[in-house]
Amino acid sequence: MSEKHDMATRRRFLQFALFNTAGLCVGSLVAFGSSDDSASPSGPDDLSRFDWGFIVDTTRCIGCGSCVRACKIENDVPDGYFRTWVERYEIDEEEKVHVDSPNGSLESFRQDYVRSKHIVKAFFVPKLCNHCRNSACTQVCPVGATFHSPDGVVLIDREHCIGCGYCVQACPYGCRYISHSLGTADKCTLCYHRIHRRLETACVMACPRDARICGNLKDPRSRIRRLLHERRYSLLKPELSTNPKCYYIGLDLEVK
Amino acid sequence: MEGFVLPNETHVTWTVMIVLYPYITGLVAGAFIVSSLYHVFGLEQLRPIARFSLVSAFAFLLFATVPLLNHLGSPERAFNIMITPHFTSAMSGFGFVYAAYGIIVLLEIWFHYRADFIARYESSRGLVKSIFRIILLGSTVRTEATDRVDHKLVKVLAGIGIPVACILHGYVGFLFGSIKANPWWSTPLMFIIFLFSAIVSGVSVLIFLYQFVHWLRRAKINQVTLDTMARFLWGFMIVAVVLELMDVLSIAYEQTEEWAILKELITGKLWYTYVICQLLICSLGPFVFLSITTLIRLPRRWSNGLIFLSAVLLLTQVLLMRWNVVIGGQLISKSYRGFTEYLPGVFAKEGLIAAATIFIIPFVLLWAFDKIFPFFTPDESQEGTPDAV
Amino acid sequence: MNDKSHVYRVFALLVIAIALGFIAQRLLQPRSFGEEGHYRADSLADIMDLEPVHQGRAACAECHPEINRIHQKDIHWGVQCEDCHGPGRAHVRYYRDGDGGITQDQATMPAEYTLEGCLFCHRKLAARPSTFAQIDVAEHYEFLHVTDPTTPCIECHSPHEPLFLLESVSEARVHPVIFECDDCHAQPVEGDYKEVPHHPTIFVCGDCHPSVTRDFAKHEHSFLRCTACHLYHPENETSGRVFQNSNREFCMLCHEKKPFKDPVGVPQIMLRPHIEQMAPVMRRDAGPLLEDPTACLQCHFDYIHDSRLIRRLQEQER
Repeated sequence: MSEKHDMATRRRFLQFALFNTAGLCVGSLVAFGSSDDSASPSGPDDLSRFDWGFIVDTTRCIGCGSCVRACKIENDVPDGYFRTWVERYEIDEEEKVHVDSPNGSLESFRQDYVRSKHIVKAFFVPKLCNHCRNSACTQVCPVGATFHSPDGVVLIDREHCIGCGYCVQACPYGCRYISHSLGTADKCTLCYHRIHRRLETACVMACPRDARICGNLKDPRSRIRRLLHERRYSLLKPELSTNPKCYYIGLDLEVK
Repeated sequence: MEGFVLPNETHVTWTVMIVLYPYITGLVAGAFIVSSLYHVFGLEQLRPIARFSLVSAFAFLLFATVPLLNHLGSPERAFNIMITPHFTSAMSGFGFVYAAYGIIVLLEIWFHYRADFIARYESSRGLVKSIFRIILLGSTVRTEATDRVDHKLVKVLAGIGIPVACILHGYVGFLFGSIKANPWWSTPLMFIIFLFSAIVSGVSVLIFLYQFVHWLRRAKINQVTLDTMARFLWGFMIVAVVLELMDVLSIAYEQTEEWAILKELITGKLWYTYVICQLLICSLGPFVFLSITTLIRLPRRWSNGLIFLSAVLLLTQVLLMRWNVVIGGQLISKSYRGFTEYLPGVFAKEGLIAAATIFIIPFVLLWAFDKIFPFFTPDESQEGTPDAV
Repeated sequence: MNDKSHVYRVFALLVIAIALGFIAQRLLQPRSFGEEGHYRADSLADIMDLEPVHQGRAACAECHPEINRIHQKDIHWGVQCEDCHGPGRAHVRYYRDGDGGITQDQATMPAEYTLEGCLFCHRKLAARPSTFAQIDVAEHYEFLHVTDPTTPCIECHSPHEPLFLLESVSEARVHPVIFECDDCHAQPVEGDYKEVPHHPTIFVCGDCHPSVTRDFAKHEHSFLRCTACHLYHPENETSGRVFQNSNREFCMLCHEKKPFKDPVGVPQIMLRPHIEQMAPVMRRDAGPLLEDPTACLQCHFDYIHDSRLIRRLQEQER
């Protein structure tokens, strides 16, 4: 009886696996095929066809810090400040949450943070500018030095910013900083100089685990749209109604 | 550093300069409102201090932007705020409100002092005479009719100035209160808390200077004026402190998500500066002292001493309140999981010496102004001789 | 009328000042401000014109096609060249574009094949997904009898093809998810899960491949999991890819004689002398064996699985 039952489950499982296999083959065609869906505009007139969005798959992140290192170099980010960083969450057997991100995880993590207690749950969460649709930072800029580009990227005009720091205060995610060498605010540009050359952002390119995806939300056939339809995701601090465009797959409640 | 702070939060963005800025504008607004109490509402008891408070407001106003300029990353672009104001931002109105207010105070002083200017013009010669001619814009005639016009305009300008002063300072409160990312700032009460604490600081600084200058010159103070100001101070400080407490109490009572971190902030990082110094010493103390001087008849020496002490304590209270709001709010990590640290350097560009210098200059300016046009002539502090107004 | 002349003068002055202010405001507006929105439209171009620093794998492949080919077939296919070698702008400018402003020194890529560099990804951490390959250095070295704790990974693993896969990753077989005990258990567990009351049913290799696992259990490598050689690379919650690694380089990861290894413990050889010496004994021709990437299995297959068993399975498949 039990053996029969076992056989039935096994069959069901195999069927299930088969369907998944089919799905995966299609999926991998996309993954391994040339990714042309990150295509970018050829001229500024085309910008309105684009709305750049981002996916962070927290379930895939291994906390290696490649994205942080790549971003630092690509964008010449000053020491002690970060346009992207990786946070680590460890929950011990007493359900106490420990969070850390030593130097933004620029050099990954040297050891488990919690060592004296048993860790029951742990994960990494990469963070970057959410490029919110209803961003608090662009709202508060008194001079119009930070703005939404026509293709939905929150940018800073380094020639116009007065460096008052109001946007740094207004960003609920701590994604902005004052660059003391420039005397202006600074933040993730979603590698605007790269995505317009049909290149991936430095962090997406550097991620060895495909945990970061950047793409055009206006294109119904883009990988980012497909993933958003397939996977369940969440946003950071949705209660502030900043309406972020950075979607987190597998986001834990502890992440704020 | 305590707990977890986001990597970009290890440096506090708004330094002691941004503590100083609302403090100075608070003095401006408070001092101006005191002068308006006389000019607009006709509170005769305040006449001896009216013109002093008006000029104080202007002196502080001149230096209100200095800490901001010192703090800006690119101060050379400061005028962008008026060239390309972005009106969705609370800060964008700053340039215009500040300019409008500056013009109002300047005009009010000009009309107020016109009679003195003309007197100086007539009594001086050479270069000084031509300077005064320029200041007077060539109109060197003074008649009863012009005095009437001047008087009326001062009243009108003082009347317009009250809402503008409220906007100038209330907007600073709004600037903080409208930041939804910061649980310690984000409250609609911030606007009104800042306004009342501004008035408290303005009245306090006037009482302080009034008593200090008279003590320095061994002159006799006008007791009625001082008592009136002390009564006002008592009333305003009660409102200010109650509002400050209401704000925290309502968050605590609602037990919102933010309370967990705010409670840690209040009982941890801000325990001394907020609970002990701001609330217990600098609020409860002056409340008790001013209640005594207002409600109980004491020997003059005693009550004046208590008033002076209260004024100093309340000046400190408002400075501490600015610190606890501006710095306190930035100590909280936006991850709600920890606190960063901030200690202003002493010699740094935005350090304590720079802050003290910026704060002291308006007082020096007042002293210089007093050398040319004395605020308190001996006979005026006795009884109050009718002047041009 | 004369009473108010000073008033008119001061207000006239004020109006002039305000008018001048407005004119100045218009004149000082930066060029292109407000064309698209409340910002300087030209700043978009300013940002777009910044030059990319990272060149991407395609640029590397232009000049290094062979390394690229090896790299793309192995498990590190997702790791970008510049993750380990650093950004390639100066290198590409100097060698491809012949930029004279760059010295050869600047154009040299800083290789990062240190132990620490590998451990950025592969150090065992509680927060890493358990399905990702990660090692506790001490444990790993003990298992392999490595005596020098500072031995860099590249002494055994090639960073371009760390597992020496013979088949390309993209051609690897998709396989239903394989559970290992430590996917759920943080502490090592012993015994059969079936003996644990109420333990959820999981599928282990033997469920679908009973004869292979039974056979494997009799042989010398039975202390290893099936996935030690049939590498399993999970891709999502239900499935992943399984690789059949029969490359001799893979066997040599454990069995090669190295100066930093303790000679006692695992049987260790030098590949070439071993083939030359043993081929006659096994009555085989050493020449083809030396060329054969699956050389080890030609003789040692029976020490892993019973060769008859495999033949039987192959016949069944046909």
